[in-house]
Amino acid sequence: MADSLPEDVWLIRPCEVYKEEYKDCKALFSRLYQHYIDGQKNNCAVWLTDYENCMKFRHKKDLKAAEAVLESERERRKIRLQNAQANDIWEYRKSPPSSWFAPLDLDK
Amino acid sequence: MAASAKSPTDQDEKQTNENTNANAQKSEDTKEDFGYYFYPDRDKKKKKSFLERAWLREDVHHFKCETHVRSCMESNPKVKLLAGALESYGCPVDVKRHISCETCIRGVSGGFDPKSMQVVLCQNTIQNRDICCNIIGHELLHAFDFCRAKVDFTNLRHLACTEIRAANMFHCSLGASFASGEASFFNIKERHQLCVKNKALQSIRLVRNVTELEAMTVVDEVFDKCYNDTEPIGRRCFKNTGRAKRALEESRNYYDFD
Repeated sequence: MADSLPEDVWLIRPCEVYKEEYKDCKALFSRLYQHYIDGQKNNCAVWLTDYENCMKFRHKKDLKAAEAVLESERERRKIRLQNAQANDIWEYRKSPPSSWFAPLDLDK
Repeated sequence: MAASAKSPTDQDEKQTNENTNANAQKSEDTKEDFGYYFYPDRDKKKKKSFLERAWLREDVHHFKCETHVRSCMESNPKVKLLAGALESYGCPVDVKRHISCETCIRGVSGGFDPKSMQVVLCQNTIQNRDICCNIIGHELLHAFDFCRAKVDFTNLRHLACTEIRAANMFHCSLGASFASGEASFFNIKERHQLCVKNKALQSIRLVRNVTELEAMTVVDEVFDKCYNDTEPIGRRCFKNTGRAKRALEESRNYYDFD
């Protein structure tokens, strides 16, 4: 069974997290914030579907359900990484700044 | 300090707006000082006498500030996330070296000094632990940007971008928008963006000697890219700590930290 699991199965979060996200998405206060930030309601049904599929995978080892959750997670990951990479205002470093641990100039 | 000093939070917003205007004027008369004017202890710490320290309650403020810092680093999810992300980029945060509680001139709550790689917290203006955590998070975000990219704080575009990101993730809750007038009961839709722009503008004008028009132009130029870049947190979390905790757990899939 372990061999047939997809490589990126680690992307699936604990199922309870999807339930929490769903409840959080639908809460009145969150709806207000969605209106405040995006100007529209977010699609919360995705979280519920992910939760149900996650539970199917947990209880019945349903690989199709796992794949469905993974599709959602891959999409979210792709969007997040795309947004980060689209920020080309500055040049990214290849190594940390050398002055991070430079001694403080203590002339007190 | 080519740093991104920020103005204090909701409660003091109106009062300190007046302060910041007065201060901005002072720096217009002289050359650019990049905001170092607000942090008189940065260049040289002159030893204050016991009576002076007691009168200003400096030691009390300093102790409270250090306690808040320790508490935030240990238990605030967003601060822990930022510290972890910094660590994974090769800039681990050492509280003794990288965070400094100092007395500042009224009008700012903190800043990031790229010359000495320190987050400066204003022990005399920070009122409570939550505000302190927010400010630490804000300044650590500047440190994160400096660690992952060649951010030049004297470059207006870079400064605008990092301030937009910080305002996006640490400020502009609904309450803050109501307090500063960007949102009202009849006008909430998509007001977050306006709040973020205004906040970034305020922060830029605090440390740079530029006209409002220049600052607004630069903010508008870089806004879209910087507003959508929510690294390392990945989402906007407000008072809801559940969301912040979930963001912390999720970020372990993107950054390598304990």
